[in-house]
Amino acid sequence: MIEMIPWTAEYPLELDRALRVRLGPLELRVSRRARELRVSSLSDPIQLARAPEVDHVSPEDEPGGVSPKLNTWRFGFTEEPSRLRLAPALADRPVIIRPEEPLTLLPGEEVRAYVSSPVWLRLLVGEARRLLLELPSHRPSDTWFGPLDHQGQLCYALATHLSLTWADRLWKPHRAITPVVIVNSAQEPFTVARLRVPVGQLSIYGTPDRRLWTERITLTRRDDAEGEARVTVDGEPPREAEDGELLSPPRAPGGRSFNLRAFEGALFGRSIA
Amino acid sequence: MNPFAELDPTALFTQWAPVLVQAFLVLALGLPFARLLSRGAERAVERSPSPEFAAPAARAVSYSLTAITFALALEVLGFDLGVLLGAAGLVTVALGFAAQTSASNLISGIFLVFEGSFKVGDVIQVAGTVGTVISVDLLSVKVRTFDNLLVRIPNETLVKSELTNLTRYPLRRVDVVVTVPHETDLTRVQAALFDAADDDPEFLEQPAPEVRILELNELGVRVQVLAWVATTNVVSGKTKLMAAVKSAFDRAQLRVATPQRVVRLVPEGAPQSQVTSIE
Repeated sequence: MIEMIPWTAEYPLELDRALRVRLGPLELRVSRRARELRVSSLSDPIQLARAPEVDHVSPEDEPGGVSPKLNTWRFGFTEEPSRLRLAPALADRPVIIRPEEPLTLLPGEEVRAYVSSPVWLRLLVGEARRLLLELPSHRPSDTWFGPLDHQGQLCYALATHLSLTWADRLWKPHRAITPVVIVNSAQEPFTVARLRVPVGQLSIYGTPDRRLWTERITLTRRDDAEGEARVTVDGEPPREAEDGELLSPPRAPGGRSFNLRAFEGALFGRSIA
Repeated sequence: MNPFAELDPTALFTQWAPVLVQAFLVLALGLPFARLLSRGAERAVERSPSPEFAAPAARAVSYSLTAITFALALEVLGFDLGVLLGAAGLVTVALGFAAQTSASNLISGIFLVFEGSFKVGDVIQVAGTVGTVISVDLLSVKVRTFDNLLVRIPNETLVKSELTNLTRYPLRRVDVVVTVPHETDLTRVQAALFDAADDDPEFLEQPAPEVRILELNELGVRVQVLAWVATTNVVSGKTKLMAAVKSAFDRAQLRVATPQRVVRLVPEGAPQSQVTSIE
């Protein structure tokens, strides 16, 4: 039977059977064999809107058949685990949001935007919930943020509408939504052409309708810092997910308030001034 | 008359035993101390911003302290160090002439230390050799090439030659050049090449890929696509870009130019209507 992923559930792994998990473009099989777990994965970029599903299939039924993009991992155990948990996680690098049209804020203006980023799927096994594997539901393109030397950072790129109002159409099953408040406390207008979201400092909350949210973050742009922002991370789920349950803590827990190079101008390497 | 007849072994032992013990103690304490200090120097340099120079620094400290220890031991034994140093000076001059190259390499090594153009683990290109630096020594730098050869490059060569550090910065640009026939629509070519540079997530979204028209020549139009990748992905990036260009051309039904020659056969004295062209 196919069911939506309840993130807090535990799935039995039957001997010589496979558990099939689909989350957006990602499809994977976890097969249990004697003293071994085998994971096969396939990414199908056409299936961006596919609902998350979990069901049991025959282990011979490899995802997508014979495909050059099929990846396989084997894990050996003294006694192979019989249960599996799934957990979402945010990207393992910062995410750079590039609005399709740059957004300009006049001095003193404040907007609340919604950005969504693909989640990574974690496979956890055993009573201790040991991490077996972590795979992106959708691998975004690499991009660079900052100068071309070691002061810059390799990040993931996402092109979005940078919507300023929440709409259901923004939701995708394999993505977590982050409300981003942008405040221009400088004396000059500034244009957001690229925006860095520090997803490593964010948690994931799941709502009863199976949507994934992160805390709200506030980016305050000041006069005295070129491209730099004061970042504040709320300590609770956003108002859109008040009843959300914490599913995944931040990858890099740190302070809830810090300075970060968060904005870049329309031309690469040129910071907003 | 036997000159040793008057030597009293007991007196000799009484006279020399304490001196020998002292010299032995100097060596016994000095040599481990030299080793200890050289290890300390090595660890200190390993923690510094240039850890690749840990081994040369350790050797320099070790050789200096060992020489001092032996000099002290000889002084304890009654040797006049002034005479020794004078002799050493002469020997140094002689060695200096004989070891000009080594001295040059040694001094070049010191320049390299201060210049900091590369470190152990970097991939460098020097005088036709490309490889990973595995050690920086007093006289030479050892490089392992990608076909697993050990190449010893004298420090002097490194100082004199143009050196390229291929892994100094975190990003690299890869490119592919294709030539398309003159009659090809260049807008379609540019679109296909941009598609190719967007084909794999390892091609960076920023810095953005570029397509440049390089040259019009007798064969066709030379076009170049440039994409940026993380330095760690540069080898696979070049291959992926090449494959992506091939796929994009196939999808867009574009073809690369092939050499063509037109031969005109003109019979002697024939009218223009009888000229035959063969492609």
